Amino acid sequence: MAHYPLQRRNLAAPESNPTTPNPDLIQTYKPSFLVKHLTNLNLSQPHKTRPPQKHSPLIDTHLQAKAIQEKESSVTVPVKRTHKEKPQRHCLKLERRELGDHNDKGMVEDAKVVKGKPRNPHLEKHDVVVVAAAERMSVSSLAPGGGRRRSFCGTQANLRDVFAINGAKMVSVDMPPFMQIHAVDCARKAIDSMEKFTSKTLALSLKKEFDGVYGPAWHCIVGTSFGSFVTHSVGGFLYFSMDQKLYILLFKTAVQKAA
Amino acid sequence: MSEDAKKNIAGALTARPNSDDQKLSPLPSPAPAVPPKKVIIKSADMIPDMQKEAVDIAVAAFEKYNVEKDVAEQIKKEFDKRHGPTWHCIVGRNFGSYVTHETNHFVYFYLDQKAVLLFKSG
Repeated sequence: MAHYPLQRRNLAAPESNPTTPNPDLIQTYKPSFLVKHLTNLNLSQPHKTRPPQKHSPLIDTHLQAKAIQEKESSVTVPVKRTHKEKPQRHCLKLERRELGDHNDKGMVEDAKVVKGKPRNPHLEKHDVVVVAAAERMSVSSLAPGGGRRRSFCGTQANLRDVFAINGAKMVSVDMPPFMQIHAVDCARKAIDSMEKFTSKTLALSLKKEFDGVYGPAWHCIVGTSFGSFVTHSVGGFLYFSMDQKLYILLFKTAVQKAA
Repeated sequence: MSEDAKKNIAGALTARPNSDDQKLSPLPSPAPAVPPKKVIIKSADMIPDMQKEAVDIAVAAFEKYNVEKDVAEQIKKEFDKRHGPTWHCIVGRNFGSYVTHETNHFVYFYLDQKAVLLFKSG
């Protein structure tokens, strides 16, 4: 608790002089956005069935761009499937290699993180797009196993059991299995202990739990209908559903401390 | 102290306004036929200029995109570009949240029926 005031005071200094983002970094960073966006196009396909209310040229152009992106995304899917079949350690290595595409940006982030958390020198960030809506449920029903999963043999079995018992489905994840189990258990206990359910209370309990056990700073969003775009630390992202209609987004960001 | 650093935000269905709503005057839109959207700043820890900027970007994003995640993506990327990383954006009709944000970098507002949560952390 005592650390928070110090953090805020120090954070005020850079705010007075916001640094202009380096154009080179922006250029190197853009490809990763596209790649991330492409991988999520498949998940968001149900939304495309909606007839657009507006037919302005801008929307048409955007739709065309999406069509092109779809073709590209189909090429990347097989590669990712191969990754899923490999053990967890290899997956982690592959993830870091992928992050190497924007090495300059990554190095900058690493430098900041190292200053803040010497114990986690390898922490990096990447963007993830997630969305919850009525259409998403139909997708979930088509795939009883849920969203993307990594094969962890025994761990995978335990993970499935925990999710099944709690009526949870994993939509998107970048988090060790034991933390996933912790999140689902915590969410189930919180929901069962509430006399009257509120999304805010569930978000609060989950964030508090993870801040306390795994260190700051965690963020939690709970609801039945929302879209999001966030940047999270490696190994600190979980997006799952419970009771078929409630979606929970839990992710971590690095905390910067004074040098 | 910790209360200042952490914000409680409730979605449309679970929202219980504890403070007075601050209604902003509708922004003049180039297309008179389209009625201006109703903007309500529910909670903010952000300088007024940045708040207005967030609302303007959100209005433009809603006009351009129909899917909530695309709107969130547009807003976050624009703020990452203008005010430096790292921003996070949540858009939707029904959600509750609990987040930690940097001082003076948090805003939560309504655009008609959609809520927008934008904050900086990390």
